[in-house]
Amino acid sequence: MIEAVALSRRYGGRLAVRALSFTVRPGEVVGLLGPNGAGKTTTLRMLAGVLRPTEGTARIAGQDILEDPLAAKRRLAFVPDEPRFFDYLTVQEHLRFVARVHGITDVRPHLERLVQHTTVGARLDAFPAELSRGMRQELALACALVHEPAALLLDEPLTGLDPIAIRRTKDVVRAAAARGTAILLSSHLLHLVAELCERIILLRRGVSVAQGTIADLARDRALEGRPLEELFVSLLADEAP
Amino acid sequence: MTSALAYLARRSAVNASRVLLRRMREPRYFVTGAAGLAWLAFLGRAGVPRAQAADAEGALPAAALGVLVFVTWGWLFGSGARALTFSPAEVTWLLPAPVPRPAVVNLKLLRVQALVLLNSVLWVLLLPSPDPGSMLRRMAGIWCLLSTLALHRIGAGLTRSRAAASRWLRLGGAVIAGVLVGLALLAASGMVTAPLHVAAWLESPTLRMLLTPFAVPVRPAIAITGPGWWSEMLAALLVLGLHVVWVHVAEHAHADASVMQSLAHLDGASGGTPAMLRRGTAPIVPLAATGPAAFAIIWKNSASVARRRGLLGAVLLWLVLCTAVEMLVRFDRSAAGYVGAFAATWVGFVLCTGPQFIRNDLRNDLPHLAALRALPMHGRTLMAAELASSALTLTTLAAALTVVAWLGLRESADVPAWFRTGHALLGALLALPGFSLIVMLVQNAGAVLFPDWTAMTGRSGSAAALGTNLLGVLATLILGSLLLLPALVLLPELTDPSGRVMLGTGLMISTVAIVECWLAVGWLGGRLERLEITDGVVI
Repeated sequence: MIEAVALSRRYGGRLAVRALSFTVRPGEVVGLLGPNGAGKTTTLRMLAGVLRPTEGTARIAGQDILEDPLAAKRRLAFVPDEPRFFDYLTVQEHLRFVARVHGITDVRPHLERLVQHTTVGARLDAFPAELSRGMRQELALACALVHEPAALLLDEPLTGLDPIAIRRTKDVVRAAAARGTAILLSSHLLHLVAELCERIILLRRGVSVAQGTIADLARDRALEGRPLEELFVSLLADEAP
Repeated sequence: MTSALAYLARRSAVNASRVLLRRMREPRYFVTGAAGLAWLAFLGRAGVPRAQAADAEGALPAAALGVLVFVTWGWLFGSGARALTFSPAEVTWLLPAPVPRPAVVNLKLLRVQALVLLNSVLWVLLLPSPDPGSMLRRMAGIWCLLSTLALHRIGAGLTRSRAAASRWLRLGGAVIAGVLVGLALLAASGMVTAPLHVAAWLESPTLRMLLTPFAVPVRPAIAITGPGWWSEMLAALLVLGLHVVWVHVAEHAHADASVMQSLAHLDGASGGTPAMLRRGTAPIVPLAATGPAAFAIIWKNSASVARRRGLLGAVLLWLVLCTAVEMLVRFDRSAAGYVGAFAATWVGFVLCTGPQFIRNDLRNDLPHLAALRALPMHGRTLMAAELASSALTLTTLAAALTVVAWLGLRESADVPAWFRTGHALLGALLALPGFSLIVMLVQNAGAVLFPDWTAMTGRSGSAAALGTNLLGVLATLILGSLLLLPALVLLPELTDPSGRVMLGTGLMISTVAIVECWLAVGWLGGRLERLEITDGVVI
C-alpha cells in the first residue's frame, strides 16, 4: 500500500507539489500523469524518501516515511526515469549489492531469473557503460524487485525502450502487481498507461486535478471508448489558466 | 548495512584497478603512464634538499598561517554547493534504500580519502625525509593534515549551504575583502607608511598564540624529527576526529540542502539545467544565421564559458585580494606596479595551468560526440573548431592580463628597458594566439588519443583526476615547448631584443603554431572520425 497524505513540496518560493493525497492499494497499478513540470518526479522522490516533504507525509506498507524512513524504505523500490549505475560495478555485482543492502543472502535465484528472462542476463560481467538503454532498464527493474517490495515507484519506465523491451517491462510490472505489489508509475506514453493502469492521478502544477479509473473519468466527460490522450487533453483544458 | 557499503567500495576499487591495468596493455596508455611515474620519481629526487626538508620547524608559523587562510577562505568565499554531493548512482541506489544516512556519509568521506592519500604521497615525494621512519611520520602527518582540511571544507560548505548562514558569511567576506583593499589603497596613497613585515610578524608571540589551534594539525607533518611527535600526532588525530563528528552533525542539520544539490547535479546530467550555469545570460556575440558551420561550434563553446556562474567574479576577487596583499607586504612599488607585477605572474600561471581548467573544447564535448559526428562536418573541421574555441578563451584571458601587466609595469625600474616598449606588448599579443593554439592542441590531441583519461580529468575530486591532471600539465608544457621550438631557434638576440625582433618572434610563434596545428588537425580529425562510440560513450 502506498499512501500520500497532504504531500507538499516547496523549492524556494515555488510550490512544486501542493497537498497531494491518494492511495495505491496492494496489487493495483496506478498511473501518475501530467504535463512536464507538473510535479510527478517530485512526488515519486518524496514517496521514495529521497526528498523530504515540506508538509504532509507518506506511508509505505503502513510505515511512515518521515517517522521511520528505514522501515518504509525496506518495503519500497524506486526506479528513476534514467537509472544511473556505479561505474565500476558489473551487472551481477549491482544485483549482489542491492541484495546485500536489503539483507537478501541468497542472490542466485535472482541471477538465474535475470539470465533466463532478460537480455542483460547474457552480460553479467559487463559494466553499465557497455549496456544499451533497454538493458540498463532491465537491470534497474531486476535490482528494484530483488527484495520483493510491497510498493514499486516507477518514473517513466517505458520511455526510450524498443517494443520488445516495452513488452518485457509490462510483463514485469504485471507480474509484480499479481504478487500484490502496489505500483505507482509515471509516464507520458498514454496508450501504455491505459493498458497497464486501473486508475490514474492527473497532476497539473503540483495539484491533483483528477483521480479515478480511466473508465469513470471518461464516462464523466462522455469520452467512453476514446483514447486516453483525449481524456488527458480534456481534463487539462478545464484547468488551463 | 556496513557490509553492503564495504562491498560497494571494495568491488569498485578492484574493478577500477582492473580497468586501469587493462588500459595499460595499450601502448599509448602504457607509455604515458610510465612517463608520469618517471616524473614522480624525478620529483622525489629533485625535491627540496633533504636537510632543509627535515629541519622544517621554522616553517611551522607560516604553515599554520596557511591553514588559517585556507579555513577563512573556505568559510567566506568557498562554495558550499559541492560539499557533499551524492553521485547520480548514489542518488539512484543509496538514497531510496534502507541505508542509514551516517553510513552513506561515511562512504562519501571514504571516497575523499583516495584523493587525500594520493596528495599525501605526492607531498612526501616533494619533501623527502632523512630516514624511512621519518618518512612514515611525515606521511602520517600530511595525511592527517589533508584529511582535516578536506573535512573542514565539507563542514564549512554544508553550513554555508543554509541561506541565512551564507548571507552572514558573504557579508563577512565582503567586509574582510573591503578592509584589505582599503588598506592597500591607503598604502598606495602614502597614508600608511610602514609595510607589513611578514617574517617579523610571524615571529611575534601574539600571532603565534593566535595560530596555535591552526598549528596543531600542521605540526606532525612538519616537525618529524622531534621527540614529541607521537603526542603531537595524537592531538592532530583528536582534531581530525572532532571534524568527523562535526561533518556528521552538519550533514544531519542540512540533509535537505545536500540532497537538493545532488538532485540538481543529477537533473543536470540528465538534460536539465546544471546548477553551475546561469539562466538567461546572453552569449558574448549573437550567432549569425548563415556562415561556416565551424563558427557555430566556436560560438556554442564560447557561450558555455560566458554562462558559467560566478566565474568572472571569483577570478576578479582573487586578483584584487592578491594584489592588495602584495601591496601591503611590499612597499617599494607604485600602485600600478603592484597590479602589473601580479598580472604578469598571472599571465604565466594562466598559460601553464589554463589548458587544464579551460575545457570548452573537445574534452567537454566527448560525451556528446555521437551528436557532433552526426553534423554535416568533416572530422578535420570539427577538430579545428573545438581547438579554436578553447584557444580563443585562453588567448582572451591571457591577453587581458598581459595588457594589464604591461600598463602596470611600463614605468617600473624593475623590468628591462625592452619590456617597456610598445613592441614588447604587440609581440606578446601576436605570440599569444600561437601559444594558446599549441597548448590546446596538446590537450585536444589527448582527448582523441586517450579519451578514457580525458574523461577522467573532467571528474573533480578523484585521485585519478588529480594524477591525470598532473600528467596533463606536464605533457602540455613539454610537448608545447617542443612544438614551439622551431619558432624560437630561428630568432637570435632574445636577451636584449629590438622592436623588430620582438614583433618577429610573436609573428613567428603564431605562424609556426598555425602551420603545425593545420597539419595536426588533419590527422587528428581522421582519428576523431574513427573513434568508437557505444551508446554515447567513447571507447
